[in-house]
Amino acid sequence: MSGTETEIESGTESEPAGDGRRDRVAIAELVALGWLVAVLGVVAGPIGVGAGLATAATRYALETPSAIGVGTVVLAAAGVGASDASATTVAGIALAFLGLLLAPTVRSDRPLLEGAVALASTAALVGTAWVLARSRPLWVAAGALLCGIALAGYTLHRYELVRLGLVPEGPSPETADQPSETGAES
Amino acid sequence: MHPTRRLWAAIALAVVLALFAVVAARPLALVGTGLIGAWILTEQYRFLRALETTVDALRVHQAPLRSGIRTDDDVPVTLRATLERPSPLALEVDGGLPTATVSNAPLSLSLAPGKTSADRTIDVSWPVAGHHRFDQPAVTAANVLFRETVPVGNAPTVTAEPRGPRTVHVGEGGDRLATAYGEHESGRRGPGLEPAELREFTSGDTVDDIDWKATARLATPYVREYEAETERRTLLVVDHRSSLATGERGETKLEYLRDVALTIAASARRLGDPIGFRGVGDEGVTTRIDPATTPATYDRIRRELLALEPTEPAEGDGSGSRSGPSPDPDGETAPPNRHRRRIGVRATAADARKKLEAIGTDADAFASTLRPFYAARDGYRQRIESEPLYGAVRRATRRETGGRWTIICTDDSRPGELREAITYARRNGNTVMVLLAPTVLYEPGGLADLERAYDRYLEFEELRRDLARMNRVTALEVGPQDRLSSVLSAGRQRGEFA
Repeated sequence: MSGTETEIESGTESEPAGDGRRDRVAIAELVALGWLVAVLGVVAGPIGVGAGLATAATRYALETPSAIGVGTVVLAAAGVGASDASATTVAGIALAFLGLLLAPTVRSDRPLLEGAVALASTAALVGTAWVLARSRPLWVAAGALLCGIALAGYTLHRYELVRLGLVPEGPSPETADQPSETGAES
Repeated sequence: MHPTRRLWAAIALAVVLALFAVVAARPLALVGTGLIGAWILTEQYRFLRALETTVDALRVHQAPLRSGIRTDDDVPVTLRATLERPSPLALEVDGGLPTATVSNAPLSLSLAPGKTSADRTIDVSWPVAGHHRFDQPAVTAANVLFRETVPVGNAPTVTAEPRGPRTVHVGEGGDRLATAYGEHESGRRGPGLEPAELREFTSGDTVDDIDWKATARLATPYVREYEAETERRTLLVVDHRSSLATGERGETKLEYLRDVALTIAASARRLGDPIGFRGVGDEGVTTRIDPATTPATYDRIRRELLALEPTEPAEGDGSGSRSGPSPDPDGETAPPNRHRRRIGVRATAADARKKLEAIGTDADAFASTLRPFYAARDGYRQRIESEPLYGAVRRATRRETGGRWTIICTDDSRPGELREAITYARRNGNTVMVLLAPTVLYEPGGLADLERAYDRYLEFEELRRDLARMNRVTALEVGPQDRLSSVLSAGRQRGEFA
């Protein structure tokens, strides 16, 4: 037997809107990178400006996580906050990079909500890391931070399963109490 | 929510930064880890919201062209996905074809970000009969970091019926036969189990016939008579020559006749009637089972009926006629002509030939008048006697004298041979039932021209009525009810009826 295939696709209504959104994101990211360089300059001086420019260059070529990694490594390698990072320094650095997390929210239909999530998660994770780093060994702080990230991610994953009805149903208490059909009678 | 490689790369980077912070004693690197973690959580939340919105706006529908099909039919199945508004996610929709299906293309389609609808149609066949339920279509939504699969859409059911005769019509001129088989009454009184009537004792009755209960009740000798138990000797002759292969696969003439023949055999078994069987192919008798009432005989007849297949046409002659007599499985052949010269026996081809030779080349009016008659009769005799069906009926019924019920299952492609076979079978008080499959109802595309089909059906009906006019002969039509109804509707539109 033969199989015939026909495929019809339609729907180009979103093309102009998509272009507009991409432009907004690009502008937002430029603004965020500018913000990054400026705030790092205020917090860490010329080293901060250099780290900001390195971050911007990395962001131009790669994804946001790579840019964040390059920026923080440059700052850490340069000794910013090496001995005892103050809350102001840490907050300032986190605030500088926060722009990169907020830039993609401009294409969302609920940017304030997504922005709040970004802000809250940054504050929670960075704040936890700073508090633990000041009172505990670094490996404890690092481990707790990674566990916190994993736990938060898993919580969102479970929420998604419940929200979409993807949670597999287990055996009900009634069927679990019934004897097996293959059991022999004594 | 499943991570992609790019997400794993980001997670690995966060872990590397944490290790760097520990190893190099640079706590500031933990800020990078925290920022990457916040970015991951933000992207995860963004994907979750997009997925919820997409699933709410997505409509997926899969449907076969029809839900009632025959096995091995190719049926188009369409998968359609529509979005109320474009989604930022890339969607892959996989249809839920049942397990026992065969198709050479996957039932799936994709919706790129920004697209709002897509269709896909493929041909699917169901080789297994039964009810088949589709699985719910699976929609896989993905962006660069996450991927999730969600069931969305309907799950229709398809019923695949095995190929074979559908509504089998057995009747006369389009009228269905009310009851074809059942208890056969002999109409005679005699030994039996079914009481018929109670009458007074008369001279000639024996003491054993007296019903003592009735006698005591009525104070006069009474005799109770019973319905005489009889058995109807039945011979089932099924023609399975090449012409019986006409029709769609699983719905040929032979399939329909087999269906009826199996019913007849089952009825004989239920009534305890002795039944024999002859299978007739293009080369002659293919199966011979003498009448008996043993369970082994009934079973063997049923097996032989189920195993019947149309034979190939005889070489050199599509009608299957040969110049000599046809052999049967036991090696029995027609005896020489001189042994059939008995009073009352119809003249054979040899007789016609001798008479033709006796006339010779005489030129008088008597010879010239008779010569064409004997010449034509000689050829006709030879042809008919070599026909497999006639030969099989003749050899199977030549010694039967009354009480034999011969059932011939064949088609209308050889009316001359059929008439001769029926005429021979009904000799000596035997009865004949002919089950005829009209070719017009079986030919693929035969109903494309209903007017022409109706005319052909009228020709068949004329043949059937002609056969039914014979004494002790019942001629019935066997065919698919739906096709017959279509043909008869053409006649009603014309204002005629069969």
